[in-house]
Amino acid sequence: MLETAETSFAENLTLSEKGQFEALSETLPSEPSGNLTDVWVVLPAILERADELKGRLIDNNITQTSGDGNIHAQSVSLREIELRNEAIRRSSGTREDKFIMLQRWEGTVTNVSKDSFVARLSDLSQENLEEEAEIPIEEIPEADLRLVEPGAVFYWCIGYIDRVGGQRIRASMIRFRRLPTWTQPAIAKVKAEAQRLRQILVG
Amino acid sequence: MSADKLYQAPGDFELEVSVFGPGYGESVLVHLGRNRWLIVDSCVDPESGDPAPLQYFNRIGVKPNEAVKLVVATHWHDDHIAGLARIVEQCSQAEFSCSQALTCKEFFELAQFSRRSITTRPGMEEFSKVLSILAERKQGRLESRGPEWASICKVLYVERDQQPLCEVTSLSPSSGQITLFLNQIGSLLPAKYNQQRRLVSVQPNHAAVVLWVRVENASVLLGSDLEETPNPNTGWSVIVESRNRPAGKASVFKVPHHGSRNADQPRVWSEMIEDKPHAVLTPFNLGLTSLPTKRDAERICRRTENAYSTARLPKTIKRNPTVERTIKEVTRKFRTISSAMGHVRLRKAVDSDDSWNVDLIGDALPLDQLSKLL
Repeated sequence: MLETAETSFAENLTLSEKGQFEALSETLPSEPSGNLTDVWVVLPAILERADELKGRLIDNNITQTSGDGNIHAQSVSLREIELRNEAIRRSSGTREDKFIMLQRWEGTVTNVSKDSFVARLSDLSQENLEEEAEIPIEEIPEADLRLVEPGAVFYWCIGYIDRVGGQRIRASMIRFRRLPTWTQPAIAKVKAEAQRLRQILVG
Repeated sequence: MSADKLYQAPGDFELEVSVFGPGYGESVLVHLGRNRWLIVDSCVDPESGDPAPLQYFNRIGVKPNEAVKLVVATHWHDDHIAGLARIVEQCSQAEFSCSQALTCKEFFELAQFSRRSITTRPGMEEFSKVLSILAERKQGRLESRGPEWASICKVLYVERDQQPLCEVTSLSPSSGQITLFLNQIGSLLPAKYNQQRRLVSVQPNHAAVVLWVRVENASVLLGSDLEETPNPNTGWSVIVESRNRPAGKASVFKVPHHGSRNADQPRVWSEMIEDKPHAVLTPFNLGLTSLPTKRDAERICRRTENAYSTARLPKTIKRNPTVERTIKEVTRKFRTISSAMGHVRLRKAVDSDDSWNVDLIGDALPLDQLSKLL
């Protein structure tokens, strides 16, 4: 659903706006303590920012509604948008929720049972530190349940969410990576290289 | 012992068996005499990130590109091959050997899938790199024979001209074990539209290479991770029963599969190993049960008083109290896998009736002491 919303919004932009949208997406703050590596972190932020962009384009009277009902922005330079965003931010004192990361692991599922799974964890803040955990399935968001199988990869973050309203919430978030599938051309490449090496080494 | 003496290379007529293990991972070095070395498997020192054999060679002044004659990967599980590609690269004059079971196309494909997957991490990808290095080497050097494919009772390396005379023989896999492995490995290959996943080691290990190393009149049995099975054509039974296996009994035994009950075959102890041998195991701190268990350790200690472990129990890492509180709330079990690196070193003079000198380096300790901690 998130992908669909993002895609349909992007499709309604002109080419110039798409470039601006993508550029803005690249300037999004990453996770406060880490790199932007995961789609699950990026997409919600992009969508929020996209809505914000759309809103500001409308608010700043630089759009016009076409006959097809879609909103098209006039060609506006990226720099102008950035300046206008900054001006709006300062005048409204807009703040965002912040996530303060305390700990992050990358995990690989090694075993799955009815109500839990076992995973090997690599501490992303310390090299060569490997741990293992048995985690109840109920800790996994429903959207990720189908991904829990041996070999699946996930990120587990522990930290605090500081809400705009002033609340602080302790959070544990596990999110499975949506990894690409093996395509026929990729499989063919793998098999060709395997065959080449085997021919040399085995005959 | 002072650091100077501890890190002296063995003499020309001095045998050495060194077993490294950081709680997850294993590597064995054998000095065959006259600065000829055998490396079996590879593990990485958690502190330095370097392959344990290369780090040790550096300390004792051995040049791997000259001294190592044979590198053996007993199987493909990631706790036995971490850092292996660097070893193969540096040991440029050494032959390489691994299980004949790995000659199948499925294994080569699996290695390539692992290498090309975006989820890759050290493990099968390491083996894939090794295969690429060997292929390049074979194409570049006419005299390179490529890997020696180990199988039951096959001589992988021999020195018959210059003393001390030595021979390295693989005692597995048997044809039965190869068949079991082929049945197992096919199921690991991804199909079209399968999501990319990491490769997870499958148990039991049917393709592991067990080695018999003989230097003059001393023999060493390196048990890898081979487990016993009910099938007499596989596991340890087929080795014990083999009429072609080398004669004699080993005075050093690298206990298979981290001392587990599944890998224990009493006939190995009674028919292939001397009375009261020096037995070494590497712990395994992964999975629902750590190995060795207390009962495993006690069983081995009953068989010999000269039993050692390369590592202690992993130390618990202290973290931010909020993180620790959350870990306790979220998980049912949580533990560290890595321990500090330990090294059990055994040395003795060739053709001597003296017992082996034992050095316990790093976190290595006698197995009876580990047993009390379990």
